Amino acid sequence: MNLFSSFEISGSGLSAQRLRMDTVANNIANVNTTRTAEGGPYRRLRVVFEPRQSEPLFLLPLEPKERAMAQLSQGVRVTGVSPDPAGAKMVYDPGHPDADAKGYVAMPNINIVNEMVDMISASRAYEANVTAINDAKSMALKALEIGKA
Amino acid sequence: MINKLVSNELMDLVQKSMDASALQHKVLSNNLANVDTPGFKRSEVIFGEKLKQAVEGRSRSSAELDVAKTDDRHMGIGLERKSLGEIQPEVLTENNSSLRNDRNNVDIDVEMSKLAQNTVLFNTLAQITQQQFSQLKSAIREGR
Repeated sequence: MNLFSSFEISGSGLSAQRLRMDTVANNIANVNTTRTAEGGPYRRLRVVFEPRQSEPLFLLPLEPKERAMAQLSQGVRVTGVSPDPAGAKMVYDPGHPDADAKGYVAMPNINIVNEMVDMISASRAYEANVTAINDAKSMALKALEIGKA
Repeated sequence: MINKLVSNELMDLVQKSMDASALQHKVLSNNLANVDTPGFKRSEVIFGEKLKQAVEGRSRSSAELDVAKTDDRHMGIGLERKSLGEIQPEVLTENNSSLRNDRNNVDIDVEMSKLAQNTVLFNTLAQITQQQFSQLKSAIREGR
């Protein structure tokens, strides 16, 4: 049934936006991290989304309507978390233990303003998905009321 | 007889519209879930316009525009007359527009308003169905 699959779709949106929020929080927490296991400063992470497709292979030989339904994606999927390729910010701080010979420290490539904007955007998108779930719930309950009366 | 009571044309139409509305909700949820997906294109269900066309075509058929057909292969004039049962909801993807640099065309405000509109429509249709059944029940109980 359509209404129940729309719960699942909105759920995938919720978890994707939550992961995005976690990534932003991680970036903000590491805004001053100069040492990592890979060496060098912390690199800003970002999530990559792609539409989640249902299995089209089974439905391909069926009639066009079914095929069109199969091509419609079923929510969102996180492909991965990839580091931002932008270079590190060089900050002059000769007293820092990680400073190079000239007194510059390689700081993470994080712009706190960008992270804040990303956070608000993730939070709003999360709210939109919550509204979609609440609407689906009210629709399902309303349909259930048909039997009463 | 009882079959006619439970499934008249109005009920069939309302049920079909409810199915289309549920599908529309699914499609809009999918648009919202993919609001930050690069390259994603929004979709929408086309049902109301098709239904309107069919209803208009039906009322038109009794008007003067009707042309006699002497062969099955003759084409009709004006709106195509389709029976209401034939109308199916159709999912249309807007492939040729772009809202942002990442080629995504989901406008969250538009989606939210469509979602609210669709929920109200669904609830109305459910209410109509409920009314129909309670009328039937009232008739069975002889109005008591």
